[in-house]
Amino acid sequence: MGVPKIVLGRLRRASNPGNHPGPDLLTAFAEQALAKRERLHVLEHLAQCSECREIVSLARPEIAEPQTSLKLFSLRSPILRWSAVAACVVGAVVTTRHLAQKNVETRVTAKAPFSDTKDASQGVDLKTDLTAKLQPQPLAKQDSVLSHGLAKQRKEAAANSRALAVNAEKAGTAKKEPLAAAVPAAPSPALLSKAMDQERQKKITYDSLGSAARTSDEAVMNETVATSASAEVADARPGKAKDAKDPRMKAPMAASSGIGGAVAPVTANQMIESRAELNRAVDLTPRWNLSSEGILQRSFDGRTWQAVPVADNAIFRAVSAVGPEIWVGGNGGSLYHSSDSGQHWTQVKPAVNGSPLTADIVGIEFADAQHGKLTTSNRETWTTSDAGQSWTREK
Amino acid sequence: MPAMAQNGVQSVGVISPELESRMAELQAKTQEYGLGREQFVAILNEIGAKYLPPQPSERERGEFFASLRLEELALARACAAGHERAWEIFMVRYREKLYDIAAYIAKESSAARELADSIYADLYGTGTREGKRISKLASYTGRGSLEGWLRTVLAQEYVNRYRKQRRLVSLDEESEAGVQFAAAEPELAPAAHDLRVAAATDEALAALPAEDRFVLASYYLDHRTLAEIARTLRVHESTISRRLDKLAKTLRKQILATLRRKGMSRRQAEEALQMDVRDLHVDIRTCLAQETSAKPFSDKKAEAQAGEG
Repeated sequence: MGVPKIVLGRLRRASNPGNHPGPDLLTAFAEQALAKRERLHVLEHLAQCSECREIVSLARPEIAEPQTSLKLFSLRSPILRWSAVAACVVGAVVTTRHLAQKNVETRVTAKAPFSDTKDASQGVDLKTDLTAKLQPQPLAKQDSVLSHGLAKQRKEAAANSRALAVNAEKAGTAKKEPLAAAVPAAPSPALLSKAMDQERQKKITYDSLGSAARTSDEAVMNETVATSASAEVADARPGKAKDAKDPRMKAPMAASSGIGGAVAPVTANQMIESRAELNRAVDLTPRWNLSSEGILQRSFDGRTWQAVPVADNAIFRAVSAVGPEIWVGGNGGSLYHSSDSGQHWTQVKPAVNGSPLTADIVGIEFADAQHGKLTTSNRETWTTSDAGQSWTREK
Repeated sequence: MPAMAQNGVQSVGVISPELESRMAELQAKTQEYGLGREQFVAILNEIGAKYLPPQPSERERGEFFASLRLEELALARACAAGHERAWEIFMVRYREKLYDIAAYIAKESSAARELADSIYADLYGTGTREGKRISKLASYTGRGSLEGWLRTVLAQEYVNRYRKQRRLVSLDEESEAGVQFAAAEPELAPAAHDLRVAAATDEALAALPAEDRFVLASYYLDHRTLAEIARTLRVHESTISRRLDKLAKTLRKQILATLRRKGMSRRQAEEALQMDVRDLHVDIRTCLAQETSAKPFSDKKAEAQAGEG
């Protein structure tokens, strides 16, 4: 709802505001340094005087005032919000993949003795171990993490793989090689997922047949099926073929194709963008500045500045930042150093031959973490080459 | 400490050990700036006399003197008095800032440099009165930061220059800008109820707190953004947004209520409020008088003189 036009007309037609407040009062008003009575008086004038409002507006500092919370972490931006969601999805996928990879590694090491039919009793022992390992605990865990939809999709994928196995058997071994060549060297989640389904089937086969030799054949067949299924998945996405060649794309592609249709809404490109966004957010280096009141400020985006508490009653005049090494100095020779981007501060008291630095520090220049120079209001230059442990003074 | 006058620092020192300790801390600096303690105490007295109410309570006095930027005040006054050491420090601290601020205000490098140079001359005090150099820094009273004060002084100078330049704009330029041949405002005879609406609006506006009127004027007349107003008042942007919404509703409600009290029906009142302001009788002369009747910053020179004194 807007204000009625007559209100604007009458507002413009304000009474004569009288004497303008001087720059002292306007400055104190802008800096919130006026007592209530004076502030009301100045506000009363400003409400009527466009000229003074203009001056107050022009004299407002360029830098935004520090806010209580950084926007970077407030996730107000839709991009960041979606990035966070994407990060969660990526995290879940990576964790699931890691767990699946662990299971398959166990199975791969167990597969060789199984294929060897010489020692049937050893095979039975290993079968028992493997059966124990393939008990539904890890799968149940994954199912609890993933949604019901994911489990359903995995069942469908298992059914597809069985159908593909039949096709593969029909096609013969000659077809295996080109299909295998199309598979990336690293095991993809699609492969892992299907291998897990096959392992489930294997378990059933073990239980029902109990034959080590037969199990060996089954394992070989399963490997073929998994390979062809993976190739099928790669072929089913012709538009993404180029992306699939990119090593960075393998994980997200596989994640979206193998582990779940539930992640399908987040495309590979979106994931890369989200990842780039996150990288940018993580890589942000803080910028340092001093307010007009001599307070140290830090900004991650150059727009919002956050006051960084260093020491009580210290008024700073100069700041230097080299990576995480921050030096800040000010009135009465007060000098503070942080080597962790402002998390912790240590007071440094430069002194030469027992004579401490008492003049105002008006300039700090550090070329690296060790070598630095202070300039003081009495035109002295203090230099250090050991990160402030010892100092030399020059007039 | 020697006995001082009514609003003097001595009395403040008695009730405010904090100020006393600050004065002691400053002693080394004021001496470095070439400003004696007695001289500085006299300056504080003068500032107290200017800003404190006639019979200030001890608490008021204490709070007032505690809020002053004593170190910056000492530096500014020492500069105004022409102490070389103080000027050296001032130059180190503020010269670059002065040019940066001017660049921010003027938005154009040559204009910014000209603006900063002219202010610098004023600060240094190129003119003399009764054999004494008049420095603009003598009017700094430590109410806000010296940097903030420099910003305000630069902004004032910029606005003054703009106004002067506007008076010198040629008719050709005005014609090009469409000012000269702008359509005349229709002058309609004011209807009887217009006056009632205007009076009701004035009444509603007068009932608002000064800060609300400032927000309204900044937003609707000066076209400042919510963020700009919020930064001036040091509140969040959404606070200003909510306040504007609330103000619009409150004003409408109050004006309608006043009009109904004055005998209008609800419908009549609403129709009257919807009427375009251009259809109302507006005294242009009075409107313009706001801009010109008061001498811009008329108290500037008086302050400078006071500072000199």
